[in-house]
Amino acid sequence: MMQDQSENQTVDMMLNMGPQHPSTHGVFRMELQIDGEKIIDVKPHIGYLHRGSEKLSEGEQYHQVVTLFDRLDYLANFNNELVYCMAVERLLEIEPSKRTEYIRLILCELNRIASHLLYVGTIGLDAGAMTPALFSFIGRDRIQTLFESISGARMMHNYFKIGGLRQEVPEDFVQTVKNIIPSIRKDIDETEKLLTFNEIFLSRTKDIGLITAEQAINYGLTGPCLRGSGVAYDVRKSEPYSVYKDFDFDIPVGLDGDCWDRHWVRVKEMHESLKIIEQAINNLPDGDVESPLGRRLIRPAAGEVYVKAENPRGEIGVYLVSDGTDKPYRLKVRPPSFCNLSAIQLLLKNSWIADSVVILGSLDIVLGEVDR
Amino acid sequence: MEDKSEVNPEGSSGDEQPNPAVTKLKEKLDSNFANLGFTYFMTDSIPSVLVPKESLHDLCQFLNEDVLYDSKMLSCMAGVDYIDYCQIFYVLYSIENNFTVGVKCNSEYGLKIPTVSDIWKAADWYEREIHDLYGIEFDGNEDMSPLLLYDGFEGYPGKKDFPFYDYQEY
Repeated sequence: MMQDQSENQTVDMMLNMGPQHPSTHGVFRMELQIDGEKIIDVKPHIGYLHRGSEKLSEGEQYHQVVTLFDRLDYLANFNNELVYCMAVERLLEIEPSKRTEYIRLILCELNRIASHLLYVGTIGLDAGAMTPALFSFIGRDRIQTLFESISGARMMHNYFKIGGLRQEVPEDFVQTVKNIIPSIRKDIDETEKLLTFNEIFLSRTKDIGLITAEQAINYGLTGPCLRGSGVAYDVRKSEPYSVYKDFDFDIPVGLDGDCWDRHWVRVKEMHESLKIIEQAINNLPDGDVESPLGRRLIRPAAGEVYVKAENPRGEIGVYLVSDGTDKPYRLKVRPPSFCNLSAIQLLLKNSWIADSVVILGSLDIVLGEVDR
Repeated sequence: MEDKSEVNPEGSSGDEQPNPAVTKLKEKLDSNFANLGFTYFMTDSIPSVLVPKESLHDLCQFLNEDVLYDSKMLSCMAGVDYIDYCQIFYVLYSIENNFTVGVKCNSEYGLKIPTVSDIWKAADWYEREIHDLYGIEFDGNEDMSPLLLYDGFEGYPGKKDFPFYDYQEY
């Protein structure tokens, strides 16, 4: 019987990758159907980190939900807190003070840089380069030390409050931010020199994991994954929220939509974020950061809002339904990583096993917000 | 004064003054979908339409292909449990025209909603998530295996009658 078949015939094999695999960036499992080294089919499995954050928030009062948002995308805590606070503020029809908005924006952009620095380090590890991770963590540490001086925590800050900030920033905040900007710029440049145009890195990422603009939009990709395919879509520009319209910055876009383009977009974005921080810190208004609501219990009128913002990983949306009580009736988060990861089947089909690690790394997922 | 403790599933709009964006959407859709029982209103700042589930797929196809609305991206898809029925909220976005439009569809529990995963691939995972949390079936989407929950999980944790502080042994 065996001799009848072609000599080149091989048997497909199932390979299980994850959930405790270091390159899956968390608890993510893929069932790879492989023929030799080639991936025939992929079946992604998520949900290992499902904590029911959306359901939990239905049992918490409005001001308590902020802590749950810290734990969604745990690498961009401030950005998550911002979008939730914006949603409730819109529901309550209140506006935070100008100083609050500026401080929020500075912290969000610093958080974006910290998140992207971690990405640059991990994509290096995925592609086999150890050193960039060590360098990028120096820069990330600078930012986290600053965060610690403001909120008391390096992650999970719980610093933004509905309508304001939990407390005033330290006295030396402006000077510290001004001091660390050149150091961070140096850190980014050093990391980039090690990686971006490195010949081995280029061969590992160029023309790997291609996705066209039409496909990316159809799969709901946003953030650097979409911009890598050449679509200049950024919520900060298209529908400016907070005080983003006061600032001058560009949206870097890629050309081909491969892993290297997604990497390049993120590196360029860090420089744009620094531009925003420089403008904001030089024009930081004086005033109060106290919420106009004071310490009152929050009871918005019945209604619903859909608010979106640009996170380091893409567009985050919050759909909040209120029934007039002190707890949300329904809170739905549109997590950017969830949509970005849904394209994994398309990206991995007909690629090599070795590339699958780099492709997954280039999507830069955080399982905390994929599973919620 | 209306009772504030009651949820108004048709959004925060009033009957007072129809928003120009809503009027525009109504005029556009009336040419193709007249007398099908559509309701138009604003959801926050998004012009929205509540459709019966028979016309849902046709409407989504129309909005996806229409030059003006050009909803090439399914931004978000949320299920909301209103005790008697489940409401699915689709947020459609056009990158080209920077325009958002909302589509809502009510479904009683136990009935099927047509899938839109043939129009937007993004809908696939959203539909599986809604199936996990609310038990809504999507007609035409074959793979309804649990996404966020595990195989064999009992009940639908998104629904209001699911016990809040209860847990199941895995």
